[in-house]
Amino acid sequence: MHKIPKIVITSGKEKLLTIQRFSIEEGDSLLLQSEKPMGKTQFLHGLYRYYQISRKKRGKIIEKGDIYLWNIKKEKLFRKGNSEVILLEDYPAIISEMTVNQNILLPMKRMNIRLKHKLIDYLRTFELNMKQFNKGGSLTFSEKKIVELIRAVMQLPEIVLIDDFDLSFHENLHDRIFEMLSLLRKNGTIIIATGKVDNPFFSRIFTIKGKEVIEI
Amino acid sequence: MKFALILTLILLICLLVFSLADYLLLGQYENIVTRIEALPVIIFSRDFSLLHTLKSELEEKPIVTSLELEKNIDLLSKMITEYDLPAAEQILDIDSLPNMLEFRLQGDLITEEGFNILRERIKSRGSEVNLVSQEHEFSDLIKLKQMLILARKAILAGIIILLSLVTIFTCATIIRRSNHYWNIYYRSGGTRSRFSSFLLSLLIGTFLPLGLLALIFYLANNYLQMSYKLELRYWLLIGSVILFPGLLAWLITDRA
Repeated sequence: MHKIPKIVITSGKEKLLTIQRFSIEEGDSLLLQSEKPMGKTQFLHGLYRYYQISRKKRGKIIEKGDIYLWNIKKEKLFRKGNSEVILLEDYPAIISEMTVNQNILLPMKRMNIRLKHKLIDYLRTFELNMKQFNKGGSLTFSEKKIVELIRAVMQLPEIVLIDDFDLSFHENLHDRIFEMLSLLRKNGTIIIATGKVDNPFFSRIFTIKGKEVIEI
Repeated sequence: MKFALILTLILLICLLVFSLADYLLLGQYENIVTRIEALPVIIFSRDFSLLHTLKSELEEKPIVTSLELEKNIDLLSKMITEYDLPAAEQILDIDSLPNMLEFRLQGDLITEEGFNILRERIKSRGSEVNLVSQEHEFSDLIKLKQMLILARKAILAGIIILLSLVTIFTCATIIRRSNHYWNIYYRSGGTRSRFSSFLLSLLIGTFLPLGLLALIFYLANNYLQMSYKLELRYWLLIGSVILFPGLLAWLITDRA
């Protein structure tokens, strides 16, 4: 179980968002629904920064004066060898000069036959297998986001944070994406997303009330 | 790895130019040294024991080589044999002939000041001692040698400044240009340390051009009859001139 401490996101002296303490079980899937675009992104960034800082065991750290983190415990949260938290922001993190394959394999330390087969399977699922040697820059926005998601899924991380799920992925792809993410959840990965999605895949729904994130 | 190869290529070109200039200067230097070493310094004196004392003193000086002391009688018999003058033996008075001490100087150690001190010390032994040396030629050669040493130092200083600047600017440019890559790498879940990767590339970029240059000179020495000596202290100096500015570039470059 992951215990998330109270996180206050500020800009100067003004409090922008407060995330109250909550806990997450392995394999949970959370969705933050809100009309405010800024709050959703801040929520994910707050969690992402929390995990980055707790991983580096630096205790209370203020990141450029914008995110204050309280009560961070030095917990051993993560499985050894795997990437811990991956944030998929609303714009694709793809290197244009690299091929699709190279972009997916970018963070991998080692490549083996099993991973290669997995990669081809995922690309085939999203009809990207014909484009695996195309440059990242030649892909559409949706394809870039898929490549980014495949890259995240292949690493079997502890947590995947997805910003603006509905805007990032075309509705036609949602079923295939949820199927892929379900496999990830079975491995214990926590999925936290924001956006206007109505799908039973998400077991817990959060919303922003005033300047606080609360669970519905 | 791309970074290491770019750095290697740039540094290899710089080092090749430097080494070629250094090689030409060294060739000139060796020539001057050989010419200095070929010039004899001769001391004549009727007092054999004085020459013997001088010989013992000179033997202790590292700049003096191939000392040869010859008695007047040996000189006379040599002359008679060499020029076939049997009648001269009866004419010449053996006591009127001087004894001779001949020596040469270490070309790479001798300086103009050192040569003057040596000459004055020999002359101070009195009028019994007669020093014969090609002073003007010695002086010119030693001056030329000092100029070559100065030119070599100037080239070395130039290459140190050039290499430092090239390394700093190349590293800084590459660090700034790779910011996007590393930003995406970390966002995508990568955990490799950027500094370790930079350091590895820098080490490759330092030792690869030096290794390649050593190989080039090894091949040139063996197949092109060149005789370039690889001086370890220069190579260590050049290695540090690449390594430390590279680390400095890491510290002063924005890696956001």
